[in-house]
Amino acid sequence: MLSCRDVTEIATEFTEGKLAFRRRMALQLHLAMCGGCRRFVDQLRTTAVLLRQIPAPEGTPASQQDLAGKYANWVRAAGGKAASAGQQEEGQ
Amino acid sequence: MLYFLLSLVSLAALAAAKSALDEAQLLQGLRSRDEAAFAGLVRTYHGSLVRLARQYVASDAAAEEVAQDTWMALLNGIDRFEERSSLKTWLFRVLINRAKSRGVRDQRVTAHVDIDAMADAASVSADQFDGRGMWRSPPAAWGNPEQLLGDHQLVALIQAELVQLPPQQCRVVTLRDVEGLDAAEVCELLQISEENQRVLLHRGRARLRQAIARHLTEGASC
Repeated sequence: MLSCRDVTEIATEFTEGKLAFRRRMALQLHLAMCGGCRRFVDQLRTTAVLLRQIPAPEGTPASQQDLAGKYANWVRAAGGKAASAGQQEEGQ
Repeated sequence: MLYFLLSLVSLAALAAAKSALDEAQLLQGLRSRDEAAFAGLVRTYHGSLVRLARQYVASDAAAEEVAQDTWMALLNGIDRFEERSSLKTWLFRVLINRAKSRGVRDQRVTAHVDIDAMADAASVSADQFDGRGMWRSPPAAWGNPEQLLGDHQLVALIQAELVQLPPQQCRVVTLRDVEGLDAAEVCELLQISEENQRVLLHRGRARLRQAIARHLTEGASC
């Protein structure tokens, strides 16, 4: 028989689909009878959904400028490399 | 409640499919030296890269630097880049490697990251259970999910609590829940076992659940 405390420890194993059959059945049975644990499992899921709402930090103007500069350098260098590689092929 | 969550999940799947399509286009653009494609990729991922880097290195400036190095690695490897993994996971992998060596230099990465799976052992504090392990005080209701999702103060609180988690828990929760990667990707990126990943995820989510509960019940008593 699972205790409520047990349920709070294996809840993520359950939501990740990693509980073995017997253990899963025992948990389902417990959840069917225990509103507190149903709510706990539900709240863990909600926590994950809420985490998804956190926005990524915005890039600063300085960082955008840095990256634009690096990109321009790369295009110059990579363009040069591609051109010289083409010449080599022609030479062969 | 369950139905609502399921519909959110399918929305996320739809968004993922759409972003995979956009991503292929942007990569193609990058190969043909289209500056707008680069800007588009940076807009999509740079914030995530800086945020993850910050979990390894000691300052915002160092995190920004590591993220920029990662972009240069993509540009320099773009003609050889194969879309076997998603671009996002590829970027994260390169970023973590760089951030780690940078973190070692700055002495931010220390031994405790390995043991934080064991840290703070209970998912719910022991005093909420009676002697037989049954709820003494069951969790209180949180109100309806639509309302929670629109609560910017709550999201800000979760964001603040997230970075307070032990480092490895914070990384797993960030990659799984904030960034939406799957378990296998996170195991590979952090080089941890599946079980370890699950324990870290559980500890992290349980701790955040507690913080949310505290916030919502405090709010109710005001």
